[in-house]
Amino acid sequence: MLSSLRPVGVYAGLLGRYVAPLWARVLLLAGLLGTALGLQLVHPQIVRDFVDAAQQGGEVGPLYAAGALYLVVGVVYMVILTASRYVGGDLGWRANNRLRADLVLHVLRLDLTFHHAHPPGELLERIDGDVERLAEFFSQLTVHLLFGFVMILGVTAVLWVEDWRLGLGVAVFVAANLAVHVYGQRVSAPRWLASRERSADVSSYVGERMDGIRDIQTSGAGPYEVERFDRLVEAEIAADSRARFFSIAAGSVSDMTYGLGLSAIVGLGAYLVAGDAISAGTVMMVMLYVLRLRGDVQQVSRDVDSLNMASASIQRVRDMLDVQPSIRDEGRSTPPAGPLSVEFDDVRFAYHGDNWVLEDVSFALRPGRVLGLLGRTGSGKTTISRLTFRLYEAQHGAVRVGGVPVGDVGLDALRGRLGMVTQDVQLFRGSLRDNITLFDETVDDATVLGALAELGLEAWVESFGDGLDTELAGGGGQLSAGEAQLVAMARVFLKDPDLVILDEASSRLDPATDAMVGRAVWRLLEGRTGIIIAHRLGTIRRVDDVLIIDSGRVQEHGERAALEADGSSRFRELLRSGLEEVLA
Amino acid sequence: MSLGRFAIRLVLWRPALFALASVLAIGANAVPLLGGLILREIFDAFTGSAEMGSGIWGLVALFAASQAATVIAERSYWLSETWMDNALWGFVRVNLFRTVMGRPAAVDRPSTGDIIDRFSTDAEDALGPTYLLTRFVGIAVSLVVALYVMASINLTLTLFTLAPIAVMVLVTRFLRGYFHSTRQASREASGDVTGFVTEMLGAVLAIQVASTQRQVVRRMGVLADRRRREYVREILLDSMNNLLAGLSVRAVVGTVMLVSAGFLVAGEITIGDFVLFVSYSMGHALSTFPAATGRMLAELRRSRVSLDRLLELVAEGEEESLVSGTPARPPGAAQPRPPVLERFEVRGLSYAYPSTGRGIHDVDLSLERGSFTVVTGRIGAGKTTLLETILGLLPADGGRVLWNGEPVEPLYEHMVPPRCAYTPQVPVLFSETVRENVLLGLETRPEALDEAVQMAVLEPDVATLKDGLDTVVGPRGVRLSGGQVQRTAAARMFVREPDLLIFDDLSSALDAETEQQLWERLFTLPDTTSLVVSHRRAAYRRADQIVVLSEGRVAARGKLDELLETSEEMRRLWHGDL
Repeated sequence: MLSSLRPVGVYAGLLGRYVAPLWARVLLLAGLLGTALGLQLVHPQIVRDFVDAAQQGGEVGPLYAAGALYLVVGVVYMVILTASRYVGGDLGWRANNRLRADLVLHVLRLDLTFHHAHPPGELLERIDGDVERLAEFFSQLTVHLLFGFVMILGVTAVLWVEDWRLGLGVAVFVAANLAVHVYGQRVSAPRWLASRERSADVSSYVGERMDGIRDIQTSGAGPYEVERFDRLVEAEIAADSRARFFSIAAGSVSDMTYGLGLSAIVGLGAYLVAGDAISAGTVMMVMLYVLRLRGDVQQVSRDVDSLNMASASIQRVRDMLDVQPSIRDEGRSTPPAGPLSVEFDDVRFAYHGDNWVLEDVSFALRPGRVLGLLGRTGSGKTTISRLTFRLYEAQHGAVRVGGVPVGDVGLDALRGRLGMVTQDVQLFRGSLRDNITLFDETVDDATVLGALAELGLEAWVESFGDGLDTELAGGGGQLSAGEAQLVAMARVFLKDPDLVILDEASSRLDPATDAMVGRAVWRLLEGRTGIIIAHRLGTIRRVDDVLIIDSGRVQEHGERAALEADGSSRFRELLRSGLEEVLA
Repeated sequence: MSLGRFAIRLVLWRPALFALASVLAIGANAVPLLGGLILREIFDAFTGSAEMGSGIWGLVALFAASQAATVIAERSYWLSETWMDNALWGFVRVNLFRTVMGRPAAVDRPSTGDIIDRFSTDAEDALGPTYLLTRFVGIAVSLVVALYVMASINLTLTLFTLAPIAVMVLVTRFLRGYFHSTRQASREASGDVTGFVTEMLGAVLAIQVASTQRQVVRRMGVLADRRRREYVREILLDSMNNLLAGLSVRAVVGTVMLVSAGFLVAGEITIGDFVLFVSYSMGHALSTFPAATGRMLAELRRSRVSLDRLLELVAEGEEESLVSGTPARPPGAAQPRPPVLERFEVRGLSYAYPSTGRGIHDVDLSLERGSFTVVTGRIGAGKTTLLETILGLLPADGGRVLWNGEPVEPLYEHMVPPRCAYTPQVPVLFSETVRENVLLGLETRPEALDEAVQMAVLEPDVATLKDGLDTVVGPRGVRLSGGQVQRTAAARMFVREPDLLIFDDLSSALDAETEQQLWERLFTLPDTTSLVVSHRRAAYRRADQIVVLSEGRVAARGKLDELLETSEEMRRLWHGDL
């Protein structure tokens, strides 16, 4: 048991950080539990007095008094106990919410490499599952554990004073019981761990399949997926049954220890009564204490078990808090004000191993100019935008924004100056306003509407009955992919960045809307640096520079006008084939 | 579906398990009563009402045996309950998954995080009535036995002990209505938090790009605080039950003391009898009855809320499928090959989103075998809605779909391979291999997969993947670009060799060259009928007919040349790009 209490430093750290600020509630809780403890010690004594008085016969008065006292003490105790549960629960959830907020903030700052390795379903299990298990840790465990021990010591002491043999007997009883309990939980703990892992499998399966339900249905793959789900559930149930079986078996050993221990105490009582050392009332009292101690032993060992479980959770939560972003936020430099230049200097990058997505990429974009980035799907265009944002870090070479290496600028400072519309717009359940401002409550409606007006989207917003208050369903729900991109555009407009990256911004818009947004985009690009990643030549007709990238290497780079004029350029060739698509 | 009906159907699914658990529940509650009887003899020996000889040791041994028997009885009941519980839990979840998979996919449903929550917590909580019933049977039987023993000792004392219990039963009934709302509110508050966190984790790119982590966390804090209030309220109400349980134990023991005082002094009952009364009052049977029933009622409320949350995921009228061993309708199962498509028609098809009222109205289409039809229109014109309604992903408000003149009903059941297949605008890949993502369990000719990959212009990408077709992709695997995901989904469509191909803006994430290749390969397929949402000129030019949608209605239809002359909207779409 002591070994499970060893990482005290870790517990103390968490408690200090999240519970200590709630000290007034902690004191209240301690006071309530202390009183309850005292009342519990008194209760069996009243019964003893009653039995002894009854045995002596005669007066009925003392019997009535004992009965009434028993009732009063019992009622007061229960009320105090209930109050302590309330206070404890509140305390736990408050501390819990603080921890969760810290954890989510941390996770949201971790880089995309981490998020790719850990999908939302899995992280949710940490953030909500593990943190939730800690609610009990914060609220009750420590306090209860402490009071459980005090109660056990108190009862043993009271009985020792009564008769040392009783005290010793009860002490042995408690020790044996506790040992068996803790051992039992030790045996079942790894089974519970396995069972929870299977549960996480099922959850993450359900999550992915719900997200892809359209794909499954229209592929006629429903029965197949149901069959797979069936197998996963079966594995989970097998693991859960195994864990429960071990718990029940371990529990039966400890119950058996209790039952035989109680019998031994009764036997001891019989021996002492026969020797006139104690009264029958005392035996009754001892039995009531033992009954009470059973609850305490169970509580203590449950707490130790919960502490074990919590320690697994604490470990996982701590592991997560300890994950250092591979992208370190240590920069202090600030890029110059105004439009930002972008430079890639001999950049090499791979998402995994040496599977290079970019190789020896070098180019420079002067402030205020707009670069058109071209290339086949998978050629590395999106990667260039991600490196500029420092969502990933190049393994080799330098990426500079405003002449400053991106690593030398604080992440928020860097990203605050940049705006991006990505291929897949990420929307969530919430109002249209929240989806545009991303919960920044300092942005007022006038500003949001102003940005939308700039985009020519007032009519579009009004087409929703509730305007900015329109509630979007999960994943953006009723918005088309094109409309989602309009929302992303509005996000960028609000941000007023010095460098704008449009990644496939118009790929999902119908031509009419595209033209409308396009005009607004060019207004936004005025006085800023821009990078437009496009598959279609039409989009980059107005750019200043062109960069063509092929299989991660720069194939061609230069001023658009010059490349257009150069009969042998790849750009010219693309224009020809592209124009064919436009004109024929 | 009522909770009772739900429970009965579950019990009937595995009646033997239920019977076993019920029988063992009686044992688990009745065997502990033996201990009280033996204690009575022991205390009578102590106080001289009986002989205190060597017989006392026999009694102590008997007491030890009764304790051992109690442990065995209780634990074997718990085992049987676990067995039953897990069997039903799995049964309900698989049924739920099957039913959800069979519903029109695009209907509004809770966030993914919330659904995960329902699959785990609610599916478990909804089972309440089945095991509660076994417990109730056990407790009730042992209560009768205990009362019989007590009444045979002293009827008056027995009747007095029942008084506080009656009071507690009444109080517990009072609390009943309270639990329903609280449980629901706390489940909802919890779903809000998990849903929000899941979505934020899914939107991490957008959040990082916008640097709004702190604002997101603040918003989560508001939701989490609401959940705390609901949870603590629930803890309080749960404690109320414990309070009642504790109070009733103490009230009964106190009453036994007060009432028995007179009888003890008068010698009408012995100390041993008193000990038996106290033991039964504190133990399993008597005073736990109101608390246990109170807790059961509270759990039933909880089950009711959870069952409702499960039923929300199931279409009205299909509640039975949650509890029926053989599904009423397999979800979108691949059908036997239907008659070869000669003509595909859509008549007066309508669907309006309940939330916005937007959608499609009265759309007619007619596709001849081997033809290429392009659906176009501005953003929000209803193009995707039209495809999703045709496919049965959305439940049509009106209209019909005809296959060679025969009505197809219901759509979600029949608009699947090999009749037709679909590539959505933003396809989803699972954390499986490319092969698995394309096949999704389809059993087909060995070369069909390669052909489909080839058709979808995916083979150059597969060649660059480390393990080729066996590379794990999706959320937990190798990251694919938007175009690669789309082409993987296209391969998923092609491998099913459908009569009718339906693409939603397949080329939106493809560059011009790849797109060109894809169209060319597509047109080598003889007799394949295609229905395509696209804005690409290449698609317009190849189209046998273009259908222009505007505000959910067909604004114009025809070949490109005609439309450019007759339709203002088509001209705008055609020239908008310039």
